[in-house]
Amino acid sequence: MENEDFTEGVRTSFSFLSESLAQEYFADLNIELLRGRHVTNDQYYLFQLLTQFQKDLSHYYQSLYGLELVEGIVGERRFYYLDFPEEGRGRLNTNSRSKDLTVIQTVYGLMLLDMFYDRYFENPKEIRFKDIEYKVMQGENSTLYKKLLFGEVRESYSNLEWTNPIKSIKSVIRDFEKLGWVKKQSNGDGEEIHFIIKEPILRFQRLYEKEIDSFEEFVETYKQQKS
Amino acid sequence: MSQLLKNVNELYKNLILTKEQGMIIFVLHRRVKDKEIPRYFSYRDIERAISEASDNEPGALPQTERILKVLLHYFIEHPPRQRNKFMLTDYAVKFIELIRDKLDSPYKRFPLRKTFEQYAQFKADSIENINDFRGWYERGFHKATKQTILDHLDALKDEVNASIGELNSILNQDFEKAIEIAEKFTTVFNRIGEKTEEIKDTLRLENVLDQEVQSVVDMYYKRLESYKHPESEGEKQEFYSIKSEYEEALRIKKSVSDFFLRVDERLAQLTEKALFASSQLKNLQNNFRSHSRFRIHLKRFLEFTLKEAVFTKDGSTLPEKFPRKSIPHEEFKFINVPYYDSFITQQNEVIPAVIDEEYAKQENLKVERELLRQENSAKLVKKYKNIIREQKELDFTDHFYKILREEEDTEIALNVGFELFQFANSHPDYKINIRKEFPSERNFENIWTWRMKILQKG
Repeated sequence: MENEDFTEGVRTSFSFLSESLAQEYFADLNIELLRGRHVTNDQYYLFQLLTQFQKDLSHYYQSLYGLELVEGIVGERRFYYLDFPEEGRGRLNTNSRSKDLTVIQTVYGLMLLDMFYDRYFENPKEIRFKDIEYKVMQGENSTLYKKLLFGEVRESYSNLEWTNPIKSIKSVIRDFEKLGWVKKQSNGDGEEIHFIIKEPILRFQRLYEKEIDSFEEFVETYKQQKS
Repeated sequence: MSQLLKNVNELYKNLILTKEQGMIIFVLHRRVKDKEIPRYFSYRDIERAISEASDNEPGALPQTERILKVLLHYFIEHPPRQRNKFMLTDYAVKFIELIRDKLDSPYKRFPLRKTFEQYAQFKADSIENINDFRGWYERGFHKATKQTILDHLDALKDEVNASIGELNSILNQDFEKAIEIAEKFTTVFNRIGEKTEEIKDTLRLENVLDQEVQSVVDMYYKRLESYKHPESEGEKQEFYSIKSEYEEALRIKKSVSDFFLRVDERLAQLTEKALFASSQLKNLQNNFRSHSRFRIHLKRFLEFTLKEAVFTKDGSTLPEKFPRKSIPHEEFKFINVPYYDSFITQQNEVIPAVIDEEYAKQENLKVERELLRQENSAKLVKKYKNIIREQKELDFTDHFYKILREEEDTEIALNVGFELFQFANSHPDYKINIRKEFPSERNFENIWTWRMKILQKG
């Protein structure tokens, strides 16, 4: 369908924009993608637009923004997002147009990725506060988590001491939801932490793929650079 | 608070045991079963059980007296006429069985289809009255059939969840072990599949049950429908009793079909879970080695990152050299400034009306014409009244046309005529004579009148 669109016999690069699906949903899709969102099939129409005009949209982002439209495949599921090309940052090369993941986002991103694999055979991969609490209080990296979140290692922490870690977890969940990596199951700030980890969390994995894949090599270079 | 809640609140500690107390009951039960101690055991046996139960627990050995005080009543009692001996209560045995069944459900090995077939052999013609039907529902369906299916479903749920839980650990295993586990799970999933099929089969049997239940309901409906219109008090009572029996039968039917609907939903949920896990397993089998390697590296990278990150009061930090990642991100915000007409308060001034000269002139003319018309009418009325008085009669028809001609205003002619005839009609000295013939003068084609005369009486 996407290749059958001719105007006066000549196929123009952006003619897909005049298709009715694009007319209706392109603006939303464009904003979502440029905001860093990973689109999955739960955003039905945006996903439809992406699957129907994938080639045209790739060309659009490549030629106008210098960005790559990437298709992530996990088993039978797919998701789409924009990424920088290998050689630079395209038109979004000013700092205001890209976002560094914060330290806490990086740490929780790794924690959630680990939890994603912990639940590899489960669907949906549901996380509640008690799961995070278990990781921190009794999990294999308990001591390290405790040190990082509370500054000292103890048997237990008061509710007051938990306030800041809970606040930061909630803010990371909020940010990750905007990216489409998780989906909150409860609304409102007062409510318990409860969300689903979605397949696009694998984008986070992709960001650190080199470091994880060749872990020994990475540690060696890192230590050299540090000293 | 209801009485039951009050009782539970008061006796909870004695009814539900702590882990320490519960383990002692389990040890005592096992020892009796294995004939290590007699059914009526001694105080010394309890002490030994306490010691065995706390073998794996840190801390001091719990006091026998203190423990016995809690257990003695609901869980341990004295056998008849033997005050120095003890035995487990029926409640204690039920408690143990409940937990054992939850952990290792007998339904996993229990042919559901067979038991259900038995229950589904419910026949509508065996129901003679509503008590029979209610009895079947409460004892046969609610307590037996429904419970059996729920227990089977529960057992299946536990099995699916336990299998998935075990599978989740597969990625942490070394390669040889993992392959072994994966192979084992292929059979596990086949078994789950079979079990699901079996439960689905029972749902098909439900149709048979459904038909029978429906014919009971139909029977009550027919009875209600064929009842004649109730008139006497007795008939009314009988009618309402049939009606309430029909309604109860309907409620039972709804409850039965709602139950099967829920079972269907829960089954679908479990099947979906099992299918996902099994397809993940299939995906994994092909590239297990790389997945497992990645998983180990991910764990090491996570640990490394956690070691590198440092706690500060303002949040965590990572060393500058630690690779930080970024993603495309352009914030879209349209700042919407509300539009105001003016920032100064507007004064409300009175705007003087502009005079439309032309219109005023027209209106004045209209008024003048009206006044003139009234004046002329009055003059003419006066004139004709005099004529009537002097000449004793007046043929108004000719005068009517005369006025029309002279004044060129139908309004005046009509007004004069109207007033004159009204005057003559109400005056005792005059009478009116109207002949229904048209006048000879036809100049005014558009206004015709009968021949009208006013005459003085006598």
